[in-house]
Amino acid sequence: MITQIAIGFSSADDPSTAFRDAAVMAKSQTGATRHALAMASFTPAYAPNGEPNAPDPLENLRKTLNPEKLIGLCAPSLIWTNGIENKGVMVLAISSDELSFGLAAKSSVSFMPLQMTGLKFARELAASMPSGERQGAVVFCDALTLNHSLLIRGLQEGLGRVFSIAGAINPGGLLYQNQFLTDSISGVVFGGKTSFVSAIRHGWQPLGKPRIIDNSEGNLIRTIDGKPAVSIYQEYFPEEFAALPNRQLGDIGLLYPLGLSTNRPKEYIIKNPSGILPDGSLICQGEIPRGTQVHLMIGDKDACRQAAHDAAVEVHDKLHGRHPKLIFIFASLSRRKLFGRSAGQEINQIKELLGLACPVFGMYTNGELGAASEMDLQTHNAGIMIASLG
Amino acid sequence: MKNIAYPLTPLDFTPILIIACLLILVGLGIAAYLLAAKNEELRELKASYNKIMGSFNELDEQAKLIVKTDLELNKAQEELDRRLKGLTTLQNLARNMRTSLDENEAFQRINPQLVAELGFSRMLAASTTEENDFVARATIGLDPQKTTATLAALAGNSDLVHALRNGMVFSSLSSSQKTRTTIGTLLGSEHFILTPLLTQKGLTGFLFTGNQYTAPAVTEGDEELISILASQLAQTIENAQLFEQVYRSSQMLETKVSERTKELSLALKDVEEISSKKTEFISAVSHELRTPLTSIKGYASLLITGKIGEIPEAVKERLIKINTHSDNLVKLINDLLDIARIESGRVEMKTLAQPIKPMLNNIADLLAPQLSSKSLNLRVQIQADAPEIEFDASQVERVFINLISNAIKFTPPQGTISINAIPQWSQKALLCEVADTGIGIKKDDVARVFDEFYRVDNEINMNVKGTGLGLALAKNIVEAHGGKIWVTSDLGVGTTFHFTLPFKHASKETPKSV
Repeated sequence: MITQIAIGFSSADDPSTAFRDAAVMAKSQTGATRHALAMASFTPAYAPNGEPNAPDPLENLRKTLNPEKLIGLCAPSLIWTNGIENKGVMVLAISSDELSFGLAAKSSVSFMPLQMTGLKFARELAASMPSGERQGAVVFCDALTLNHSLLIRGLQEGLGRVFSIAGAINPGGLLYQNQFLTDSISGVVFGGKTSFVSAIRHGWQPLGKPRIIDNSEGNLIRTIDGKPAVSIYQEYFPEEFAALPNRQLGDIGLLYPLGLSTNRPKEYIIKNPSGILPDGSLICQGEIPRGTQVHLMIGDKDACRQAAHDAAVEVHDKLHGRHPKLIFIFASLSRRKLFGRSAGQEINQIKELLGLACPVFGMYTNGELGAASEMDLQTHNAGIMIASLG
Repeated sequence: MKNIAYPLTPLDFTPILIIACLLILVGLGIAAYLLAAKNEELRELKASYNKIMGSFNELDEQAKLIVKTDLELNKAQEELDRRLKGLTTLQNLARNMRTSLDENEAFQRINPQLVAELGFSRMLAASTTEENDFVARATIGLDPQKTTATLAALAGNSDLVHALRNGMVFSSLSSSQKTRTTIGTLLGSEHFILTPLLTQKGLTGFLFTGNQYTAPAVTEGDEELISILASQLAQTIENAQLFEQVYRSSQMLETKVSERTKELSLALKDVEEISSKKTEFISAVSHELRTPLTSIKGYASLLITGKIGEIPEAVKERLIKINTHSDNLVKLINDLLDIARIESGRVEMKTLAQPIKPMLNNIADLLAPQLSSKSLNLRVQIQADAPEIEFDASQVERVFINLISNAIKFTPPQGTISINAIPQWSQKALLCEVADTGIGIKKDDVARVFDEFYRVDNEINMNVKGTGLGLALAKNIVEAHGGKIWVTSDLGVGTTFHFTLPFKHASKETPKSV
């Protein structure tokens, strides 16, 4: 039995050419004429524009790889085997007679009951493969401002807690078979003679006094310590806040997210506020429980690097000696911002641990989906999600 | 049985009350004590709480300082990253531009990726026209249709153009509010840098880089970076213009050279035709002259012998002169005929591989009387390894006789004439030299001694008659063998004639008959 996994990349200016070149590069490594699965990630300039008569940039990819299943997500920056790219198209091609794959997607999710949509999506994804074969899933979502917790609750309910789920949330649209979808969620479930393991960490540290979220609603933090939630940023960044464009925290929200205390000491769920409502409420990703203690968090490069290292070690240990065939890395944009030009070091240490020659399919994200140790599946920010097919 | 009856008395509760009161008092006392203690504890707790809150607030104030410092560090890192990226981009661009000698190509290197890597979304590169207008050469992120109007407005702003001519850089960071508004409005960008493109000729254009209002503000680093880019671009434009100038000059020169070559070819053809006609003329005239001369010389000789009749001594003397002059004239005509024949290709070199030594020995014998009469020494040196060479002995002998005769003529008594033959293995030729210790030749004359009829102006030539054809004939013979002839001379020291004869006679490509 043979499994060939390869990744191609291109930064050609023309989207059709870039998809073709990346596919050709991947195909030249697998040598297969037909591929069981193709996954793509692309920076916003390469996203299909969705106009009815516009040329389909994916046509070349399909012609080259002839994939049975195709899935993909737009990303602000790409992480692949050879490094980090701010512009381009990345294509993963898998040809295998020992692995199996199932796909599902739901579009226009913001117009539907989220938990029910998550459940339906999960059931469709589960139904795409017999239960005994399922090993893990990768989920992509492009709906940024939703209360993902409801969607994810449905997802968890439908898929259960038996296998690992890793995912990425980015605006800009996603690919699902022959369609380019927006406001959607899609996923691929991996099965067959393989194992799929994942780990997520962040490394951000609490700063200043703890505060209490005394009023919250879904993914909104209404008030903290009796004041509009945004006041936490106003207090810490008075000058910068005054210069910020309306209803956006921008880089401040990325570099200094909020940390929600958990039941476990010194463990925090990180939330990057993505917007500000006129009443000063902060929009986050995922459910914000009322009465939770909250801290402003600060990124320390060493701690974040150590967190990525710990996540890689956890993945390595979970593989129980199996050699990784493919590494997925979904890292938060906060980390890209924090590390700047040394971002590659964080990725390299993961590769050094899991295998320098192993193909890497990854991207920087606005939200990472995963289950931290002994916790439920949820949306994370500022984290790094590492998953591997072993 | 005695019944004792006790009178019933009302129950006395007083002690009980007293005890109860006492107990209550004690209880109250204890409660009061406990309350006081609790109050104290609460006060302490409150104080501790306040202390903790104070610490928290203090911690928070420190946290604010940490955050402020961290934010500054992050900004500094971001700026550093941007500058490093910009510098790397600039270095790559400079490397590409250095190799470009085409002005258009230099502008084509400005592309969206470059602009993005420099941290901007808009760029406009314009060059100045002869009418001092601006014309767009590269436009990124700006509406090309609006650009024309924008450029016209910029060209019409004399203050701005004047400042650009003086090398002034404008930016949203360092320019005045008025200028910021003017340029920002014209080019629709809140954050911008406007740099002149200056060459030695002056203002050749400008480079505008800008960002939308949502982008980070321009920094000093950006200003420096864009100024370097503008300078690099200007340098490339200047190089391209200079190259264009040189290329055009070279093209003009090539055209002129081509025209002149054509003219010269035509002239050469004319000269060759004239020369050919001259040769034919000389040949024809020489033939026509030689026939009557032979008769004159024959009759003169006959008259001198007295076979026709005795002639007076005076007449005889005159006849001898006629005979001598006729001989000179015949020699002159023969030389002329030989030159004409060689030039016209009618004389074929009958080459034969042979050693040169026997021929030189013959010549030495032949000229021995003349050498002896002037007490001149003749040295003949032929290197032992001199190979046989292919040459026409009768013709090469004429060359040697001509050269040695000249040497005898111009070398004072007791002088020495040397003949050397040295193999030049690298050139595959035998170098022959005829050197004398004679009067030498002036520098001006050296270049002309091989011209036909040219005679060096000196005392000896004035007294000794000659045709001026000997060296011309020698040159023709040597060249007909594929060799070269030249002369070196020191006035008053001596003269050396050098000529080469190839080991093997000229191949088929070189005409055997010249």
